[in-house]
Amino acid sequence: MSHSVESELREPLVLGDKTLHQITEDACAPLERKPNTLWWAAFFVALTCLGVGFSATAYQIATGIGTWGLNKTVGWAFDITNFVFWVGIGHAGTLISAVLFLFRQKWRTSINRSAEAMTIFAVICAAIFPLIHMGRPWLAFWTAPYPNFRGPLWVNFRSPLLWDVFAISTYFTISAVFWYIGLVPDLAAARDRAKSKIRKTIYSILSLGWNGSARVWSRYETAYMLFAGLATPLVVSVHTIVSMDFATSVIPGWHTTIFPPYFVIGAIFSGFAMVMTLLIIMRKVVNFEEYITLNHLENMAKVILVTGSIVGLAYGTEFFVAWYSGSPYEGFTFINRATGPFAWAYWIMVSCNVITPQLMWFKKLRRNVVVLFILSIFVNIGMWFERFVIVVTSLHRDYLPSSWAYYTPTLIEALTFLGTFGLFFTCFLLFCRALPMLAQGEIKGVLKTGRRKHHDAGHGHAEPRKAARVELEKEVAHV
Amino acid sequence: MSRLACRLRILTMCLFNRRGLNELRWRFGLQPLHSWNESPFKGGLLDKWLDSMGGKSRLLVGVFTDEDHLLEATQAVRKAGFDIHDVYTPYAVHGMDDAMGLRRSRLTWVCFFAGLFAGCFGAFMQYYTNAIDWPINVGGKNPWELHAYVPVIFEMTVLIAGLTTMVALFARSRLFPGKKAQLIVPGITDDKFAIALSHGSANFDAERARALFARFHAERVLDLGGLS
Repeated sequence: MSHSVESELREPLVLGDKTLHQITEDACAPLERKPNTLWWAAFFVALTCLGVGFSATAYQIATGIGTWGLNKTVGWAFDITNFVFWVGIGHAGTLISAVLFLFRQKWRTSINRSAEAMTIFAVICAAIFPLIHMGRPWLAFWTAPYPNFRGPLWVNFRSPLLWDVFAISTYFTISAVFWYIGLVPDLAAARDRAKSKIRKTIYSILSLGWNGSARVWSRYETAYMLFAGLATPLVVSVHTIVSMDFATSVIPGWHTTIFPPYFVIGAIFSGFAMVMTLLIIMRKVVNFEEYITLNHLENMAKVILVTGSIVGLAYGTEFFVAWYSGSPYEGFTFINRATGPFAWAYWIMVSCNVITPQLMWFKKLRRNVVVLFILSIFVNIGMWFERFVIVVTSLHRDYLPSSWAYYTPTLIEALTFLGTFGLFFTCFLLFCRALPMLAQGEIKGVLKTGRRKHHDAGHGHAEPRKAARVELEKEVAHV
Repeated sequence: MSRLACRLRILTMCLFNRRGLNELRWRFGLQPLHSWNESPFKGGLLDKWLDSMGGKSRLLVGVFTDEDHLLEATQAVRKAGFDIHDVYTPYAVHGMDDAMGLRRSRLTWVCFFAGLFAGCFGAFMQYYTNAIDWPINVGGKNPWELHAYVPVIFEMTVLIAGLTTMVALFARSRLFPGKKAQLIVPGITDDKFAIALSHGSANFDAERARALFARFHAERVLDLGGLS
């Protein structure tokens, strides 16, 4: 029975003593009302950024990637930085939906839908950069191993860059499938409430004729568990493989065994920060404060604290190993990071990623929405700089001092990056209008958490209830 | 329409619904049946199949508003020997599988074998392309180097296992775009729960079922009659 496994000491996950019907109402409300001025304003800004980014991308594809600020020494810079940044952000969604599901963290139900949406949009943004970096993006399909008339010349499966193609496309596909499967019951709820014909038709098609059958629910739960089981190692694999783009090279500062776990933790760290930024705005704008409660934010703050501390440990370990290995090139790279021309970037990274999250040890700050919002922005900035530091500072002073150089992004690169933010927020704002943002089918299932004490107040304690059940069973047998 | 096509159509219709069956009876000069209960297929394989296709047989439906009442009622009707057609809920109610006596889904096996196949396929694909068909010499390394092939084997496993599981879930549950949802009562995706009992078995005792539903605080009880 559902209630026998719930401790009576649990805090309610949903505030405001909601009924099932109210949850449906609240979850569908943003889809059914007209968007307010704030939404339009945000959408306009996002669309403008997208337009600017689109123009910049079109220009550099037409002209060539010589429009970037790269030079002989720094051959990877903004594009790979942004790629790793966006992929990292994309990690929180699947972590929340899959890993927390396997750990039975029921608080995930209020935030998983938007986090998964965020994942998908972030991965799209990430994929744009290597695509442009190819120089001839219209030949991107050459990365697929298909029989061709060029030999057939196959792709080189021993290259980590190709592993990335497989990892990112698998991650995108599985995340999208996971997201859609979760959406089906909620789309059915939206369908059954829809007034206009167009809306009803669209939701009908998307919800696949879902009718709430318990036989289907049983299979659905099994499939959901399988997806969580598949997606959990997938999350870990994706950033591991991204880190191997660097770690399998022989560049000092990249060639370290710590990279895979360090990147995965960093990804979770930045992903949670971005989820927090978005949810703090969303819960206010669409009035979801009773669903995305302070407890949710506090839990996320704890994850940020833990992962932030591990990231700090990784920075320290890198320095230690550079010294302890006795390799002069490693040693130089790290001293150069902290004191060289890019020291400003390094110290922004350290202060945002290591120092600010430590404030989360204080409960008062963990439950202060303004502090959390500022913190999450800081972490976003810090994690972008982490990638920048790893990519650029390891390259800009190589073995040959005569080719040492400094790197400055061009306007085109900056605008492309801005454009991905435009794309991300345009997609997210449209998602808020078109699909149920709350996984109501899951929230309804955890509604009773922490509310049992209320309900049983009249019936007394467990023993009399058991007696009542025995009596009931007798009566049923009699009927 | 040719004669053959016409016959085929009637045959298909007769397999799928009562109207088709009656059309066939009319052709052979027999009286049309007025209810499914008179049909020779009643309770047979076809009937069961129609049931599983979502065709409406006669159902007694208890509508509930609380998860706990629903669970207890499901356990009780099952214990009392009723044939549970299905239970409908707005969310996955924990413990419902046991209450209904559903067996464990076999999707896990689908996922496992799809993954196994995909892993082997991934390994073979890399072996064939990079070691047999066109071995590329990269730094004099062994063309078949399993370590380097692990990431792609893993990604292929996850991708194909995931997609196959999704397709299997939708196929087995007969969910597809364009399917018209048959809701047992309005509000089933909102806040209503329902137990549907088949009138199928000969000793179906409607009064007893109603009493059981009432005992567990059913909001109302409906008799959805006749195959339509």
